[in-house]
This record gives sequence, structure tokens and C-alpha cells, in this order.
Amino acid sequence: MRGRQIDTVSLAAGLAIGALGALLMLDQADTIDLGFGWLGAATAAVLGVVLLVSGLEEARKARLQSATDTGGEP
Amino acid sequence: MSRRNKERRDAAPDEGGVALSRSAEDGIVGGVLAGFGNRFSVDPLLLRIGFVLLVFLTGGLALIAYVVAWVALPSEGSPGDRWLGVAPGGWKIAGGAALLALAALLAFRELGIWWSDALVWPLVLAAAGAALLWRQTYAPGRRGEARSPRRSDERPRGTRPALERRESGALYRGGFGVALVVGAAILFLYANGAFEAASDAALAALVAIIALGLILAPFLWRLGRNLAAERAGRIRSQERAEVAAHLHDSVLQTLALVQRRADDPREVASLARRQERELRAWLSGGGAAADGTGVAASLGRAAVEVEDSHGVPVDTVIVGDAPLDERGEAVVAAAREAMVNAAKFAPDAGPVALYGEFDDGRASVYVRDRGPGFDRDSVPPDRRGVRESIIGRMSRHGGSAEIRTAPGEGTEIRLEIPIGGKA
Repeated sequence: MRGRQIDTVSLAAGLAIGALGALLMLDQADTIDLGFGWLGAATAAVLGVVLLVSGLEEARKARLQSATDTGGEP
Repeated sequence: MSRRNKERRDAAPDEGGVALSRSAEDGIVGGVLAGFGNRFSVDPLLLRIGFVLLVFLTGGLALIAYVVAWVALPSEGSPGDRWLGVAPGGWKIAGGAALLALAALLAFRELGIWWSDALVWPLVLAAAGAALLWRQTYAPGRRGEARSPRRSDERPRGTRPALERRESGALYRGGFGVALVVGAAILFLYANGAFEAASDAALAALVAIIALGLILAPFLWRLGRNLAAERAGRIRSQERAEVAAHLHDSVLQTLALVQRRADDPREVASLARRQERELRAWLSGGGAAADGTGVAASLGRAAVEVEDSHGVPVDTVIVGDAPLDERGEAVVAAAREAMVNAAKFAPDAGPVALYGEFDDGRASVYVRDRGPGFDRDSVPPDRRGVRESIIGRMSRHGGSAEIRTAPGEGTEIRLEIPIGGKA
């Protein structure tokens, strides 16, 4: 039986948002002091990771599709 | 460097190696550093280490340069070398990289590794605008692409041709890029108080010039590339016209003559030989040498004369050249006499072979035929061709002539003489 394939984009998004949540919890627990600058950086990083992984995955699938169409190696 | 890129570089050595582009195959994030590595034959790992150091040293400004290069450079690995924005996922990748760069900049700012808000943020805006403008410069498929022949009133309502959509998109992107660069310049001037003090007029002018340069540079670059492409096309067209003219003047004319003289096999063979020789000389760029004044050209002309006048093909191989002085004239005359003898006494024994070598102050010429040969002792004393015109002439000018022949074994005449003033 074929195993389930991992959705890379969902995995990356989950990990990034989880990391952001952890940062927020640490801030709430006063373990770290998350200022506006750091929060902006973290949010931008999460969005950036999600977009980047999604784009890379899309490009990879297009390359695979193109290789299948032309009969060449990916 | 990947095997494929290495092969690509090896396959195009005359073009200065592979063109600078993002390598989707070898890249980790955007393939910019891998592309630079492939282009300049540097290990991308070294570039990556250097880049990370540079990011910390510049307080994150190097990330902006990375994003600019990402947007501005073409993608090599994607199918059909498509470009960002056209390639699937291109804008997502660019947006993600831009957000990550922004995150890194904010982090550096919080850490205190920071130049100044008045410098970095205008720089970010200017870089984004310049990247968009550069992308306009590189964007393919616009030049020479015909508009859709379909008239607008024939199109289904609500649809636009892809080219029209792309052109309007390019216009928006270009306008947005200009706005970003101008906004960055104004922001920089405002943040530095240049608008308040007249004494800062020089700074304002400088920044305006830089902004103008950022806007105009891509278009000037594109103009230069277009001019270069046009020049290359014109040269190719001229070369094609030259080849066509040469073929018309030589090969086609000879073919017409061959048709007219079809009843004379010897004449046809002679025409074909002459044409072949001329075509070979032209293909090897030896046309000028054949018209030259050196010994090689003179010997070649002698072979042609013998071939034309006696109808016997002469296979000519001449290596090197020397000035046509008195000794040169002597060796050419002796070789001509040898070729004439071969043509006269062995007309049906296949081509006469002529080999001439002019090098290092010495001329060596061989004339060989596969005719009946002759007995040297049986040559009557009144026949002076070999004795005087070949052996005597060479000896009078300080050279030598050696004849190897025997009945039924053909004849080879070997001429040697110092030449070119190095006697």
C-alpha cells in the first residue's frame, strides 16, 4: 500500500506558525520580552516561509510535470 | 557546480561561458549564489559562506541585494528558461524572499546592527523599484512578437490577448518601479532634512541623479543589448549574402558550364577540379593566399596552369609560404616543368601529386606521378627538359633536384633549395 505523501507547504506553515505561537507564549510568560520590532520580524518571517515554500513547491511540481511531458529526467 | 552546468559551460566556450542566471537546479533558496558560482566557476558554498558574513557585516543590507538579483536575473532551471512572474510560483518565491529579508532587517534593527532608518528603508524601496525596472529590461517575448491579428471588435467580450495583458502588466510594473525609486529618493531626502536647508541642495541633486540613474540604467542597458543584437543580425545577413553571391559566381556558373560541355569528359573533369580547388581555398579562407605574391601562391598558380593547359588533374598541397625571390622563381619554374612532363608523359595515370613545403628558410617541393616512368640513361642528349630546366636550374640557384624513377614505377622529382634570404 502506498504511504501518504507529506504536504510540504502545510508542514512548513504549521511549523512556522507553531514557532510563532511558542514565541508569543514565552512573551506572555515573561520569559522573553517580545517588542513590536521583534513581533514584526517574526510575523514577516512566518509569512515569508509559507510563501517561499509554497512557491518552491509549485515550481518543483511544474518542473516534474514538464519533465513528464517531454519524457526527460526531472 | 552541477554536471549539467559544467557540460553547458564546456559546450559554449566561445561565448564566454554560461550566461549569468539563477540556477534553480543547484540553488537552495533562489539559486542566485549558485548562478553566480556557475557563471564565475566558484564553489557556491564559498559564496554562501561569504554572503552570510556579508549579511551580518552590512546589517542585513546584503539581503536586499539578494532579492534584487533574484527578481532581476532570469531563471535558468525552469522549463523553457522562463522568468520570474511567468514561471510557476515565481511571485510567491519572490514575495517570500522579500518578507524573509524584511524579517531579517527588522531583527538586525532590534539587535542594534543597523545603519540608520534614514538610509536603510529608502534603500529597500529603491532596490525594490530598481529590481522591477530591471525585470522590465530582461522580460522576454516582447520584441518582434506580433500583435494578435484578431481585431478587438472580433474578440469575445471580456477576453484580452495574452500579449496585451502582458504589456499592460509590464506597464504597471514599470510605473510601480519608477514610483518606488522616486519615493525612495524623496524619503531619503526628507529623512535627512534636505528639504529644509538650502545648503543641502547639492545632496538633493546627487540623490536625484542617482534615482534617475536607477530608472534609466535598465533602459540604456536594454538599448545597448538591442543594438548589439541588431548588429549581430546585420553581420549574419551580410555573411549569408556573401555566401550566396559566391556560390552564384562560382559553383552555379561552373555547373552551367558542365551542362554545356557534357560531351567532353576531360573538360568536365577539369572544370570540376578547378571549382573544387577554388571552393576548398575559399572555405579554408585561402582565397587571399591564392591571389598573393608569395612562392606558395605562385606554385599554386603554376599547378592550375598545367591542369588547365594539359587537362590533367593536379592534387596540390602547399604548406607555409616565402617571398618570391629569384630562388623561389627557380623552384616554381622547375616544379612547373616537372608537372608538365608528368602531364605530357602520364596523362592517363591519374592525378599528378604536388606537395610544397616552405618553412625555416628552406623550400621542399615534390612532384609525383603514377605514369610509366623512364630510364634516365636512355634519355637522348638533345632532350633538355629534365636535365636543364629542372636539375640545371636548381643547381644554378644553389638548390638540388633528385629524380626517382624506373620503368613502370612512376616518377618522383624532389626539389630542395634555401629560400627567403636564409641561404
